[in-house]
Amino acid sequence: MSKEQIRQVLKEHGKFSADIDTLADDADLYEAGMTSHASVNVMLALEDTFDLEFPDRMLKRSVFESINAINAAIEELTA
Amino acid sequence: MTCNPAFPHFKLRQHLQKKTCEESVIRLGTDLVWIPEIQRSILQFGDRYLRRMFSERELQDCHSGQQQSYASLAARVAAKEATMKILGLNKDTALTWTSIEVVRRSNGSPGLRLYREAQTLANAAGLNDYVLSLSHEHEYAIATVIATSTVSGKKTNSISVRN
Repeated sequence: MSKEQIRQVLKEHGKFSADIDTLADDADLYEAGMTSHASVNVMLALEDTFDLEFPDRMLKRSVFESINAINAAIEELTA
Repeated sequence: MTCNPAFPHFKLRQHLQKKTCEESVIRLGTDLVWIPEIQRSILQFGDRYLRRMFSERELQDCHSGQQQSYASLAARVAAKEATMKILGLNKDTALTWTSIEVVRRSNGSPGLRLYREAQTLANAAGLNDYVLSLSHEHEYAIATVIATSTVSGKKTNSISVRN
């Protein structure tokens, strides 16, 4: 369920040229066209969707580089 | 990078080339931002977005009348992105946007100040002097940063850039 919610956030805020549905869960989102600034929008939208806050230590590319990585970060923050 | 002189029998040129190889490290970063993208982020996420991206001083500097100047804020986003490019981030480097601050100098020109993790990265790269140029026109804002470093305790050649 959460991965589908992540995909929906990425669709609305990731600014991808490709269809997000064609990307695998482990696909590199930056290689798919997500910019650093777009990742800020993705982060804020994820905070709204999952009612959490990303701490400063998580503001790095590896946290937002794939759907799997985002999902792992959300699981850590909601554990 | 090799330091073999192009003209080994020309002593002055040999000296200058050696000096460049041993002392000068120059990094250039530039970034282009579409202003409506910044405007949309501000309208959608409001204060949460502004506080993640900008310092209090930057927000004050970009305040025009009753509203934030989207163009000025977009230029600062471009400056931060350009600076990130020269800091040599890897994917596991945690870097907050507010650790890179655009300031106004007393003569009105823009300058850069680095804090916390950005300063740590700059120190590791030996970067200690920055020249920043900002510009915006219609829907786009652009920033260029030139960083120079001190190697072996000697300061690099000075650089000047006009807006």
